[in-house]
Amino acid sequence: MPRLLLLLVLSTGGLAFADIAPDNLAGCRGKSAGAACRTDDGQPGVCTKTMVSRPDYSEGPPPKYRQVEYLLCAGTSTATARAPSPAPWATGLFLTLLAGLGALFVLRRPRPT
Amino acid sequence: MRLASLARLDFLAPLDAVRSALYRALAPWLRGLYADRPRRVAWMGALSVGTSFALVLAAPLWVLALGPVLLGVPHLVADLRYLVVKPGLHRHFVPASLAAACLVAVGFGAPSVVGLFAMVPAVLAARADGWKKGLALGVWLVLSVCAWRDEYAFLLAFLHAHNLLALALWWRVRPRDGRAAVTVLLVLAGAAALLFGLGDGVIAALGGFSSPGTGTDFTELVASIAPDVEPTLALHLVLSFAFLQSVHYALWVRLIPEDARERPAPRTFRASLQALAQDFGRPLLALACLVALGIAVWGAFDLPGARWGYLRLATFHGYLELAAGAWLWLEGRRPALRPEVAR
Repeated sequence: MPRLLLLLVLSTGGLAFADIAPDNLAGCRGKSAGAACRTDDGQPGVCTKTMVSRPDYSEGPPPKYRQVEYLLCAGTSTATARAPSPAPWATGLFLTLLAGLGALFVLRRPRPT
Repeated sequence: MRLASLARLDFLAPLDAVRSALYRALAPWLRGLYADRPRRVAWMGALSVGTSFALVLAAPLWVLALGPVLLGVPHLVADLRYLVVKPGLHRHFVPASLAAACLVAVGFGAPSVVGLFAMVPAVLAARADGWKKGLALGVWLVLSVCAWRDEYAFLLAFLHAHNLLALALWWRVRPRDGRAAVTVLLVLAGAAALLFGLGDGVIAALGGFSSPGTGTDFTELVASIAPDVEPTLALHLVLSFAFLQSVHYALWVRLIPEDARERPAPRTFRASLQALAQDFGRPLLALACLVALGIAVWGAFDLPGARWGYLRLATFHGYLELAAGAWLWLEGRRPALRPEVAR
């Protein structure tokens, strides 16, 4: 049973891969300008080229600053508000507690002699 | 027949034969270094720290990109083995379940106060004096208030500090003498040298400030590891982090296992793997191997993606080190050792 607990921690940790939070940059990764995307908060948007000033450390400190073009997900004005969904971690916590209680119940059952 | 051979780990026999031959050949010169465990751990520690420092000077971006992908999962396995399985923390079912629930929730994106809450069942379940428990709960409360007030700043501070937490846990595995202190001093000196920019000239000369093959650059790493800091100091913080992270892996994968082994003499690769399978059980070990292999293969195709994926997977382990460390401290026990060995 203790090993089962460890297995649970490892396997549910693995599920977190599916829950990588998007950001305005990640939403356009692998897409081209004008493609549909989702913003940080899950709103529909369009991938838009944006110039951003960023430090360049490629020659060491102090950094030089250069303009870099990024493809960022800009929310569209036609976006409609989505109903808030429960935080995924709360679901994870609930399921784990449920599994823990179930395991505790199994542990406490009298064993056949 | 082949399955039976695999189960006996026969595939490791040639490696063990080569290592035995090397030991025999080098024994006249190296016996003094190998025979005594404290001495062996001391020079292994110095060598690990020196290698980490040299790698950061030569190729810091590769250290940051490849380290988590190649050594991340093995170090998580060591984390669980020496903080939970060996000391028997998982046998305290109710507090371990509650702490595990908090750690799993962090994996699902829960805020750091939830991860820190894993300390509470560990502290309450520990057999210790009331004042010690009160002190541990006080530490938990202070950390939680900090995390609650500024989650982002807390996470950044914790990211950097947890590398040193491993050093403290390693120091507690066995009673130490001056030889082991050299390792600690080297770690602090290396981190300070990078923090004060003493490595910049060498890194620039070796072209380490740019490595396009890694798929990442210092601009991106500064933004994630040391944001909102003066740019030059931010770069030095990232270099120091690369060094300490590398030392962190060396501690969990090499030094702590060396110290934690019941018998002082080195054992064969086959015996080491058998002991690991005995601690974890073969299904769990197979799962860990699959995850490690999966991240390595992922890294071959998308190195930044694999690094990011691993970091998401590993979010829980800093809180695990904190909770298990508190429990071991309260019970007056040493990490990594079975209770009967620790006494």
